[in-house]
Amino acid sequence: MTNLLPLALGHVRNAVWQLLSNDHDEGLALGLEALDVEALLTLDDLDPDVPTLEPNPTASLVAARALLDSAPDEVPPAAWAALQALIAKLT
Amino acid sequence: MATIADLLNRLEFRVHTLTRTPADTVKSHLAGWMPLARTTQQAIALLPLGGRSEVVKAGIRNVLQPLARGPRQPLDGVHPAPQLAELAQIMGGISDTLADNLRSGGRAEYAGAEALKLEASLLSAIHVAARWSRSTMDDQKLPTTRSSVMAFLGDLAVITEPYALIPPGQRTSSLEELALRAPNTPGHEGAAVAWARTASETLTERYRISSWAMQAIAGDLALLSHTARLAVVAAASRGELLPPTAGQISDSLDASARAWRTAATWPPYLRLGGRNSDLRAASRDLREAIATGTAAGLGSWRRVLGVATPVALGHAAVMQSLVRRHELWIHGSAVDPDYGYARGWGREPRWSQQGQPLVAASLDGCRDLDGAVSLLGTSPHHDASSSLSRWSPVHAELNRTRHDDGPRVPLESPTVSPRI
Repeated sequence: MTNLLPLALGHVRNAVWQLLSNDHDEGLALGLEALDVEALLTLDDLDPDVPTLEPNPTASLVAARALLDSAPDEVPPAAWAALQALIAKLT
Repeated sequence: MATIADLLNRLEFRVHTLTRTPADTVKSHLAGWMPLARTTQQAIALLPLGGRSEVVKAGIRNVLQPLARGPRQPLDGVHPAPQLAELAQIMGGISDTLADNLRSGGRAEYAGAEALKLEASLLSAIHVAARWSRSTMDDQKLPTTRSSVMAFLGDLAVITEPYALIPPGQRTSSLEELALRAPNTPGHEGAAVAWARTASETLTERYRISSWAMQAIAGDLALLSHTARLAVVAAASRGELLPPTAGQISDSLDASARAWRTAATWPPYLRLGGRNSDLRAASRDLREAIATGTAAGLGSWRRVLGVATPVALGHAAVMQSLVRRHELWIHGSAVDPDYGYARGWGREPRWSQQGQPLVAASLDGCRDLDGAVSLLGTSPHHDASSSLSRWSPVHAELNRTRHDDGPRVPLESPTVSPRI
């Protein structure tokens, strides 16, 4: 396992925090979707990193996707679909 | 999902359409009263009337007991009178629903007056059934057994008469909104029951508790509060709730949604390891049911929030324990380097208070959610989705009975009592 996955997971956790901590009504549903992506990416014995916050949740998720692109064999297919769908909703 | 109100409607319709048939013999009535008295006893035993249960319920228990026990000589091969058997089946449904909802004590507002009103509805129906049963045995010859059962039914009719004197409109109870909580019920109610079971199991097993689970449960509680609030606002706009009442409930639910959302917002440098695939599935099903379901009434949302409240209490208790024992993991980057804390994840140091805001939010969420459920239960509202208008189904079924059951005596009015 590369060290990209813990960093990508860290970005997704940042996005969860950013979505849930804003005051927008839709932030709750989107935050819960991001939490679902986190569950899909949390493989056994994987400790997430704590990367620097991106300016917004979309940027955090895009950063996670960029990292996952580098290690496609290690990413569960369900996580791809969920991540792509969430980014599409946010952009 | 059939509510107690639905079952009561059915029960009252049946007792008000009781008619004598050739199957109504003394023995068949004895056999019919055994399950009916037993299920009635069970239902009454579950009602939180207040006072000392064994004293308060002694009168009705004493008159139902001999009927539930049946005669000394076994009734081999005797079929229960069909109409009494049907009443027993409905009473059993009410008893099962009460057991499912009140097994762990139920909510405080159910105790006392609300439970007494439901008791009155049940015993009012039993009164009519007892008098009808006596009247069918009047001219039958079976000396020993007949006289004792007539005496038992006479006692029952006397004890239950005060309840039958209360007009139906004055005994509508908030307990009537209760329904069997089955996870296979379609829609958001069933999904909420399944989610609540999985969430409660997760919260009671230490090895299944993770930061993800705590966040997901809190987030789902926020979503339930938020969606219930929308239902309250919609009900108020339809005139089903008075504006001040709707405002109070809406404020409580809004506060609950905000608090639970805060409880779900763990900072990225705090966590607790672990995976929860079953909770993830239950949580996803719940959100899907909420997103795709049709608009539900206030009774339905009260039941859903009633199911969610124990989960909320469990969440707050676990959160308090995790923080008090410093079991959360904190990332070294969040700790002042002067403390010499190692980089990476480690147990939260004893002096750290990072988890406190999450505990406070969880406790606030519990208080606000509980307040909203109480307000929903005690506020007068007309819920179009439930059958709180006791007599309407009687009209609906009456016509079908007239067509389907030729031998039965047609009734002249829907509120007519059986000939006694």
